Amino acid sequence: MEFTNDKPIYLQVIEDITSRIVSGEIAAGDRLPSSRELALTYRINPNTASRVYAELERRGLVYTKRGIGTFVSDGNLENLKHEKVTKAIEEFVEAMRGLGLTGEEIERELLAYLEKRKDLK
Amino acid sequence: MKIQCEGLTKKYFTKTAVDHVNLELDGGHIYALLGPNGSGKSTLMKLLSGLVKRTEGEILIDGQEFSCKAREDISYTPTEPFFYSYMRISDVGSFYEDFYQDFDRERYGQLIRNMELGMEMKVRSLSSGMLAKVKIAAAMARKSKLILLDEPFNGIDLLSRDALANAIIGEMDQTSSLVISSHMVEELESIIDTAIFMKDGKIEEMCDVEALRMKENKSVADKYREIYSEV
Amino acid sequence: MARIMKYELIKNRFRYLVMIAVMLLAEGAFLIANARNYEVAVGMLIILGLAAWGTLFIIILEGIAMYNRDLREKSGYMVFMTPLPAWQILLGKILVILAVGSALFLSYSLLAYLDLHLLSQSLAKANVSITANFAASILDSLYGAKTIVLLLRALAYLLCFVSFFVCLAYLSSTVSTSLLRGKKGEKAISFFLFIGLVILVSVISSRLMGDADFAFSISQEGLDIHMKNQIVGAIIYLVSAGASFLASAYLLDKKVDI
Repeated sequence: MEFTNDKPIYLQVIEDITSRIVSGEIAAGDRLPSSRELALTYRINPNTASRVYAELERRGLVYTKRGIGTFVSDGNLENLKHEKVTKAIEEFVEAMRGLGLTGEEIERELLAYLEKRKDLK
Repeated sequence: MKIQCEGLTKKYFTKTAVDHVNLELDGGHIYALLGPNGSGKSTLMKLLSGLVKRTEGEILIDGQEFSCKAREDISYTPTEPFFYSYMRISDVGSFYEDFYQDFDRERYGQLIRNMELGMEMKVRSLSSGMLAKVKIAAAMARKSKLILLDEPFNGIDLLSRDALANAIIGEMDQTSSLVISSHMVEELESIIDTAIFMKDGKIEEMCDVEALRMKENKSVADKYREIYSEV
Repeated sequence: MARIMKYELIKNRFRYLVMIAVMLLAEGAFLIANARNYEVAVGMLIILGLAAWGTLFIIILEGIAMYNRDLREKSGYMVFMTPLPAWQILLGKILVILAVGSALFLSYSLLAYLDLHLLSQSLAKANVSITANFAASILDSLYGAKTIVLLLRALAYLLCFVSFFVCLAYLSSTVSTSLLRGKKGEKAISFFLFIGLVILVSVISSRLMGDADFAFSISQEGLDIHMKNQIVGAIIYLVSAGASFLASAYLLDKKVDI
């Protein structure tokens, strides 16, 4: 994974993991890799990896069973999804406004695009 | 293990390679020792391993004065090839096993296999990439409390670098501290937690990688450019 | 320290094997030639005698050169990074030179000595009148049964001198890579320092030993004086060797940058 410079690495890893949870790639109840394995897959510092899990646990997205591993919790999924969706829309709208479009124009463009994308229907 | 340098200085005949360095290294961290060639990185590492003798200052290991005994817990891996040329990869293992109590022969064998090398290979006939792998395998198969790797990625292709980085992250002990020197910052960016910038034999700055991103929105590479490009 | 010695031996195993092979070949050739071709046998005997000195010189010089390489080349990291005190590393290296040097020298000279007797026997049997006198062991005719004792004493004395020589050479290499490092003519200065000290100590010891008249030394009284002289000389060499060793170990521990 390529990391950008503007955000701490642990936050970027958290975003990647939460996206996978939201998309269903990782399901509730799934066991997550150990923090050393996580460090290896993302090629990050082992301390950063531990911090990722600590933060995910604090947000209630994962829970740790001592000696067994870290698992994805089943609550909070809707909230998380809503958060991610809001954030994606925010970014999209900001980009459009950056191009000088008004709210109405954005809506029109979006509907027209969705009309064309037959695979989404 | 805690390593403290106080006013550590190394003067050679005409120049000062390390100039009154105050530094504290703690267990459980991966440090990058950064700076252009000639900024004193190698000399500092060799001072910490006792190969180079200090002119002034002090090195304290857990509060104790540095002695040859400390090398039981400190491993230093130089950039240059240094194994005896008669050796096979297995002989390197035997040598380490003979001299270092913390060397784990099985781990060494595992690392050598993971890096797709064979125990029967002659050190003399290895490419520089393969040799770098053997050095890392030997260094990481020890459970040293301070591991010093001097430019481990020098002159090594991308795939070998990946293998090296994996070996380093995978074998890193929670209580050990690791210092990797390099002038190639991008290689290290994600695997380190603290960056130490050296300039003209002095420590210019020491910063936490995540804090740097959070507070200054800068990567280590950005910081590197900021420190060294003004010259 | 035993571990240092082990790796010093392994590093040089081929050189040592070649030396042993040369010795065995020369001895084999002698045994075949003895009683068949006296000229070849005498030739092999001379080769064994010369090779004894040759191997001793090679082992000493190579041992000194190897220490120099360890101080100046990257392979020195191997041995100087080990968690052993400097004096143990040095002592291990020096002991290997002395042990292998004397073992090979002793084997060579012992073979030469035995062969000389074999040759004289076979010459006597063959009634070769011209060389018979020569072959009836020059040494035996001089000293009789004491020959072996005298030879061993001479070897012990030689060993003291070699220890002194090697330790002093180590000291000069160490000085060259510490106190003189980076200075102009560091190698030349340390070399002349070495030669100067060898001459100085040799002169001192020969002064203290007094003159040894070879003809006189054949008599019993002469032999006693000779022994006293040898003991004085040996002590001087050993003391100098010890001092050089301690100085080298100190410098290696405190001053030498690898």
